[in-house]
Amino acid sequence: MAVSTNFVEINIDIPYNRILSRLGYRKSSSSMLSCQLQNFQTIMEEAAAFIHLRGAYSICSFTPTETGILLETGDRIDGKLPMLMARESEKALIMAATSGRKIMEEISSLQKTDMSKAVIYDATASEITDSGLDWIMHYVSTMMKRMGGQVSRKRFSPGYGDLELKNQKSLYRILELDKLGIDITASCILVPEKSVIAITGII
Amino acid sequence: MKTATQLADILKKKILILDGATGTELQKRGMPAGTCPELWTAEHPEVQEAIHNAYINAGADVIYTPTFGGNTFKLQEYGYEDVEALNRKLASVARKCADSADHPVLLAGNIGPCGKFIQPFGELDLDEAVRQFKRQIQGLLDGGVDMFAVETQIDIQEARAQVIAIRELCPAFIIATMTFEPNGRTLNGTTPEAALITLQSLGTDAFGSNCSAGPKEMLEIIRRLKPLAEIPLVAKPNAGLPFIEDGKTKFPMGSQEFGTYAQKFAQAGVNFMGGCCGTSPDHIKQLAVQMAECSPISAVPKDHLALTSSREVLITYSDSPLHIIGERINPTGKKKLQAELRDSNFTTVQNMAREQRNAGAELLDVNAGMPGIDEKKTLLTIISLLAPQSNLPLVIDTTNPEAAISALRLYPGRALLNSISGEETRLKTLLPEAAKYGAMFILLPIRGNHIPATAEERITIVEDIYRQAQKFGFRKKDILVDGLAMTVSADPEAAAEALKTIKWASSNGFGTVLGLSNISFGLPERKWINSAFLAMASQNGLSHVIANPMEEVLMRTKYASDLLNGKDKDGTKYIAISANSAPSQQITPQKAESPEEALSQGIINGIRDDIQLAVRQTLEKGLKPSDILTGIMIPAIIKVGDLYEKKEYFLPQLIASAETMKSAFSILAPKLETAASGNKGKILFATVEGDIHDIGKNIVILMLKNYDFSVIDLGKDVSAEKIIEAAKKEDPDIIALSALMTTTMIRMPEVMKKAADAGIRATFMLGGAVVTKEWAESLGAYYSANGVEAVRIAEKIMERTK
Repeated sequence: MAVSTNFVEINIDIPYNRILSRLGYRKSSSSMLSCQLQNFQTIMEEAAAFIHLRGAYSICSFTPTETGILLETGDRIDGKLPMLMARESEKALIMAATSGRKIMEEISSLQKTDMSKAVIYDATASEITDSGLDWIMHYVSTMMKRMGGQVSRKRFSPGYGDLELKNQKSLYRILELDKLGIDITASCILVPEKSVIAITGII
Repeated sequence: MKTATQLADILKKKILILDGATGTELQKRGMPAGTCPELWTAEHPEVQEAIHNAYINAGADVIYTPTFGGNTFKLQEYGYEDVEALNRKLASVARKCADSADHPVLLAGNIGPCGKFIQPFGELDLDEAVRQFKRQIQGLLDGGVDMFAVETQIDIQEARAQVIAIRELCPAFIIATMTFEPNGRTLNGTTPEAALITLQSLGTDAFGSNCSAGPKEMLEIIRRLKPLAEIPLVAKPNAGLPFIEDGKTKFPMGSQEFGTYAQKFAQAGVNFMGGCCGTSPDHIKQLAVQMAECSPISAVPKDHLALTSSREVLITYSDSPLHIIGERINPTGKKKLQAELRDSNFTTVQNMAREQRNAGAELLDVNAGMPGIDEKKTLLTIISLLAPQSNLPLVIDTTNPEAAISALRLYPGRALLNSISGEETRLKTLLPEAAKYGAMFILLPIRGNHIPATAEERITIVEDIYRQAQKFGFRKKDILVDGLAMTVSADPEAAAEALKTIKWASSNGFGTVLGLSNISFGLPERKWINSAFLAMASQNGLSHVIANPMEEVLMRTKYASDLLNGKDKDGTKYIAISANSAPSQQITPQKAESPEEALSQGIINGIRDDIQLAVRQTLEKGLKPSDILTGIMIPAIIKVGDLYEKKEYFLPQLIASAETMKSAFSILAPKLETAASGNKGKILFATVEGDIHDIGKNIVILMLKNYDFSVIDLGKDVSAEKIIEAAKKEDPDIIALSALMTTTMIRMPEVMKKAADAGIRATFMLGGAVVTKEWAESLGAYYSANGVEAVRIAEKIMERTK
């Protein structure tokens, strides 16, 4: 039976380049004063101090269906992406990461006084949350390696491609995300905003 | 059971060969995927024996029990409870194989990760983890293991918990190996050096790496560890970096190639070597053959003091610069911090940690001693909060022995305990505990209420405490002697006696420390006294100082003293610090020659600081407000838009410029002859119902306002009804809708239909991460991808609707 494991403190280095890239920075074309770059990095570090990166994962067996997969929990995940996953994988790795509420409060209040800073905070939180999912995949991969297993490199999230956002409800329940302080709205949106659920295969 | 002393002679003569992978060997011999390896192995002792014997015949000197996942937590996943019995059984089978080998073979009880993170990184209570690990360890001991192999750890706290559990049960030899990523850290961020120092201090007998990567990458880790290692080093690499072929994980390195690494690892200083994932008895055979030609190298590391955080190590050699121990996390005399700690609010503590680190502190003193709170609980909370986040080692500062011991147990690194003084009860309580957890300590040369006035008296106490500390294994390099800075206003000899104590301790091989600010107590302008005393103490051999790194004079004195004392080679640090603070050296935008240019440049570069001054100066020169707007500011922001579209500027630059424009405009607006804003058109803006994302919408609004549009922002998660109601009231030219999710973008056509039904004639402009041009146009709406495009589209709409 699928068991959810929580990480209440995920430690990662600030992904400076990914944040800059998310904000539209292109090494080949963007021009920036070095004092601006330094300032941006300082802002990213400030933002990171408001982020409490946490996560959860669960490994679920599944049965392929004509429209997607049927998880051992009885939940159906329909779409081309789950079908693709079912072709190469035996189990599904369901995971979530969140940057927490404090950073969202900061972004919200900064939007009233310093929008450029708010945007950097926002990108920092997005990328750190995403890095949290990378971290979980890497963790599980390390644990699986000695038994000859590996985590697929690609992951997908509800709300993207043809994986409907409504799937977020069952994945939220499987991961017991309420224990990480994450809520889900009636329209299946995770709160705090910088929270992401994803699914990938275990090969 | 073998202890480190019993193995020392063997390790001086021979590099011991460890076995190779077990999991993949079990699979090769029929273990089905998805089963619990330990339970399956227990049911197939013939397979277990075959694997052990294959490795023994290949030349392994040490075999591991197949108990990697044999802990309570992992076995619970398979509904199995009798941890002791399973480990005992598996160890007994392995014992028989080791005993019947044709050469001496040691049996290591293998302990892997439990799959949960331990406090302060996870929810699992440290004491509970230790209790459960002991069940596995006891089973392995009962089964007859000689030693233990804690392996594949990515969490330093779990490695600590397992070592603590073993040490609380027996003195057996412990090998601890961790798994490092290509970035040279564990997944949790610990460097090999930090892990080595933490675990070596805790009583691990050999340290190294397993799994991680192939031999090539692991060789670098061993080379990094050797200069600091006081214990034997261990390497158990994979057979190269894995890849997937036909849906299966494969390892590329053959046994011959694997064996060629033996000599390189021997030269790097390894004492145990085997294989991890993808290796087989063939790999171990090749390794053993090649390693037989090699001898262990004996190298004693250069004398150093070492402390660690959970991530980094701080090494102090005799010629290292003076280390600042940030003193600010201490509620004494800080009313705000006291109030926060009473309310269990740790915001200031976190800020203080960050600020002190940025100001140059290399360690953080943590003190929670104040009336009205539970000191132990507060101290543990602060450690739990800071230890995972801070790269700096913590100094546990408490007079409460119970709090000190709990903090030392919890701290996921090698801590510095502040402090142990000469009272018998304190020595008896704290010395064994500090030794058990591998801490360094500050030796405070006082006894009870007696504070010795002279250096001679202090030295006597130091020697006495050190004699007692030696009984618990402490060496001089594990101790910082406090020189005792007493107030010079009460005793004119106070500085001289402290300096004499420092000089003696330093020249006798101890580390040294001073609580600096005591020296100036009661005097005016204390910073000058403190700085002068710091320079003097530094010359007398001071290695650490407890001080406030936010004091600029003090920090500059430190960097200058390091340079003058030959502790800053080539003045690199001093020059770097000076360069960073000299205004003339800062890289700033080109200096403007006129207020008009300053205004234009300010907007283009997005520098708000002097923008309002530039507007005022331009007005003072007699330029008309409308000319300033149309001739300087609008062209500047248009240029910014162009730069953004050419991708020379990216988002924060665009927004910084827009905000600078907004700030400049706020000065100009009251002086403009016509209505200052909203001339270009009225836009009603909302993020649709169900969608809580609004930063993108807010950026677009900022840009539109800068281009003289009047924008009514309805906010986020706005229902179609509210949008229609507002549209009826405001009669906008454009209704702009934003959505980030595929599920919420479907609200857009709903709003458009209701608007049409209500007879609203405004044009729709749609945007957001998932919205595409094609989709928007299919609905009969305009689309904009970003703030700059939104301005252009809005202008186009207004042009067409004129």
